[in-house]
Amino acid sequence: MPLILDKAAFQNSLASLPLVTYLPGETVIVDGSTTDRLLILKKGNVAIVKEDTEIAKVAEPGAVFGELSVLLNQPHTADVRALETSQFHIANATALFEQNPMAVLHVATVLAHRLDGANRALIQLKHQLSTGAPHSVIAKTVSKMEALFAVGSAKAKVVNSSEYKFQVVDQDYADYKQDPTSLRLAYHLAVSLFHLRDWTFAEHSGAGNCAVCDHHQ
Amino acid sequence: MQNTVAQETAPYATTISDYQRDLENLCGDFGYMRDLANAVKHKELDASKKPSTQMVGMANTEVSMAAFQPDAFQGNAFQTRTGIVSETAPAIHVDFEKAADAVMSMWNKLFATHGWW
Repeated sequence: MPLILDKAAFQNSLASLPLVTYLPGETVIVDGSTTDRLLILKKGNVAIVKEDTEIAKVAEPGAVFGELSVLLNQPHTADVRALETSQFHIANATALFEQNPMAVLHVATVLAHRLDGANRALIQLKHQLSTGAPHSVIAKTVSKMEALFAVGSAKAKVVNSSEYKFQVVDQDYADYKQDPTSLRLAYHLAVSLFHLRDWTFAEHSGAGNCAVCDHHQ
Repeated sequence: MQNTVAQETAPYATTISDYQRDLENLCGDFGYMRDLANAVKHKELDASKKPSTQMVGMANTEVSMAAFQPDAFQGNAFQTRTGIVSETAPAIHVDFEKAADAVMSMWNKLFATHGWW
């Protein structure tokens, strides 16, 4: 029998936890600090920042922050900053794990997804190395792995990756479908659908440079 | 067959022009989408951009009451609806929504085929 977490039940189980709200630009977690707290994103959008470089964005409700620090008893390894007003359930990690088995399963599932994603990225990296892929392509795969290791969400997106851009295009497509007679939305979608060419080319062809905007060929 | 080959080679094109050609082989509407995107940015298309269609700029695109045929076997087969239409060549009109659906479908397949998710 598969061990599958009921996400709705898990969200409900967090209802009694205190909520904390961060405004855009505020730091939620400081790199190097130790807090023994878990933060579970209820709503909002945050950036993971390492050494002043934004490596991922997370907007998925249920994303967990601080779990590695708690489980390994070590300081946090990245900053987490609010990009928009963001609300978190906040919990004492020890108490939460003792009292809420769903929280344990949730964190275990998130970690399993990250390990699985990192394994896939490692296989991709080995393939790229064995085929002599350009440095820019290898660097992108390393960035993807870095984000997987740093973020407590299975759906964290590496900023500027084509998969992240696809999400943006997907949203533009959904917006246009809501109003198919809007020229503004149609133009916006046309530009997004076209720019995906440059993003995927830059990421997957080895060209290493993005031709968006200035070099429409 | 050509599409299958293009699907396998598309992400490995070495120049953006080759990649554009591969994408247009996968989905003919992608050339139209490129021209429309360039028209949005530059208002007018010039020959140096090597447009895929004969569009000359944003003026070729408008909201229009277009006739379409949802089901030829119905008594009232021909109906009209309001949509966005571009004239890509004299007397050749492209329904933007259908083109967008086709290009979106192409990207979905490419991302799935190559594991870009």
